[in-house]
Amino acid sequence: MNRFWRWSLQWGQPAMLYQRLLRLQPWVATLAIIFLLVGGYTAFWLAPADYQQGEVFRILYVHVPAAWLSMMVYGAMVGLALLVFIWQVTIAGWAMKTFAWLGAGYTLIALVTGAIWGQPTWGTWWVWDARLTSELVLLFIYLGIVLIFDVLADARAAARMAAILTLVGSVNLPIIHYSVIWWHTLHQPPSIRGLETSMHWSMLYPLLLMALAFLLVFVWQVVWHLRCRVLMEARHTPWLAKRLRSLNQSGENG
Amino acid sequence: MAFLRELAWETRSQWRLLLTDPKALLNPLLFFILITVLFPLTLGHRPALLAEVAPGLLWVGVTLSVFLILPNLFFTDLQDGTLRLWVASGRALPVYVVAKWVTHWAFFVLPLVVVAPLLGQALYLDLSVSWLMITLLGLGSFAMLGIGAVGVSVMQKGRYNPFVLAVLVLPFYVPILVFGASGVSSLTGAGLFEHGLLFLAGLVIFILFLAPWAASQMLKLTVAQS
Repeated sequence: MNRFWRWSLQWGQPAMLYQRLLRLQPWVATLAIIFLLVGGYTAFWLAPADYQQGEVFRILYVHVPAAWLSMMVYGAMVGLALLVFIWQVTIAGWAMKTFAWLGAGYTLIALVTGAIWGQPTWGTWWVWDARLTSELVLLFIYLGIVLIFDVLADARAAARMAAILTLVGSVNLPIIHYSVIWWHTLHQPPSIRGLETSMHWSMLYPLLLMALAFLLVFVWQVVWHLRCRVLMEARHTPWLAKRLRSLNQSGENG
Repeated sequence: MAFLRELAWETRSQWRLLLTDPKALLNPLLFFILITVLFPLTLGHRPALLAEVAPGLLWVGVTLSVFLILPNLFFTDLQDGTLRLWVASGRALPVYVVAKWVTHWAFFVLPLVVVAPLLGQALYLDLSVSWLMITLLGLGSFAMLGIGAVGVSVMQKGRYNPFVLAVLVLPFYVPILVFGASGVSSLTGAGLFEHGLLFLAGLVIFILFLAPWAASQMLKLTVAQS
C-alpha cells in the first residue's frame, strides 16, 4: 500500500479524521470569512446596477450560489452514498446526514431568495415553472433523507437506506438541470453554461467570488458538524479519553 | 430464463394468496369513488369547471388510493415472518418484490383504472377518450406502485410511519403526475398526448429495473433491524 492510499484511508478512522478536521477548521474558517467579505463588497457595492432590474438584481449574488450549492451537495451525496453502499464506510454515513441537512437548508435559501427576487421582477412570489418546481422537489427529497436518519434508531441501517434513496433520487438531478431546456417557460435560461456567458465581467466576478464563499462556508459547516459527530460517537473510546486527559493537564499547567 | 420461470411461479402463488380475500379489492375502490365524489360537492355544480379539472382530480384520486394500498405490499409478510424466511432462504428477493408489485397492481389498482372513465363521465369528461385515459392511468399507477414499494420498505421494527412514507414517496411521483395529467387533459384538446404516453412508458421500463433492486435492498435492512 503506497502513501496515497494510506493517506486516503486514514480519513475513515475517527481518530485521524478528528485530528485532520481540527487542523483544517481554522484555515477553512478564515478563508470563508475573507471570501464572504470580499465577495459581499464586490457584489453589493462595486458591481454596477442592472439596466433593467436596477438594484434588485443583486439578490442574484445570494440566490445563484445557494442554488448551485443545493445541486452540488446532492452530487456529493451521491458519492457518499456509493461509499456507504459499496464500501460500507461508517463515516460517509455520518457525513451524509450532515450533507442532507445542509443541502435542505441551501435549497430553502435558494427558494426563498428566488421568491423575494420574483416579486418585483416577475410580479409574483411563486410560479409553477419547471425549474422552481424541481427545486421544490429537491427540497422534499432532502427532507425525505433527513427523515430516514431521524426515524430509524439504527444509524448504520439508516445510512444504508438513505444511500439507496439518494442513488434512486439522483435521477432527479439531470431532470432539474435539463428542465430549463425541456420546458422553458418563465425562468430565464442559465446565464453561465460552460465557458460561454451572457453576463458582463463586472457582474460576473462577484458572482464567482460569492459562489466560492458559499462553498467555503459549506465546507466549514461540514467540518464543524463532522467534528461534533466524531466526538459524540467516540465518547467511550480510549483515544478520546487520552486526548481529553492531555488537554486537562495542559490546562492545569497553563 | 430461470429467473422468469421463478417469477411466473411466484406471481401465481401471490395471486392465489390475494384471491383468498376477494372483497379486499373493494376498499381502495370505494376510497377512490368517495374521494372523487367530494370534489363536485366542494367545487359546486359547474359542468365547465368540473370538465376542465377532471383529469387532475382523477390523477390525484388514483395517487392517494395507491398511497393507501402501499402498506398492503409487505406489511403482513414482515409481521408473520414470511419476509424473514425469504431473506434467509437466499432466493432472489427482486422476484418477490416484482411478484408483489404486479399482483397488487392487477388486484387493487386495475379496478380503479377501469372505473376512472366512468367517474370522469360524472365529472363531464368526454367518454370517447376513455381507452387512452385507461392506458395512461394504468402505466402511471403501475410506476407509482413500484416507486412506492421502495418507500414502504423503509420500516422500523415492522412499524411504518405514513407521514414519513408520504415525504419519501410523493416527490418521486412528480414526473408521473406532470406527464400523465398533461396527457389526459390534452386528450380533449390538441396537444402532447404522445409525449405523455411515451414518457410514462419509458418511466415504467426504467422503474422496472430500478425499483425491485432498491426495494429488496431496503427490505433486507428492514428485516435485519426488526
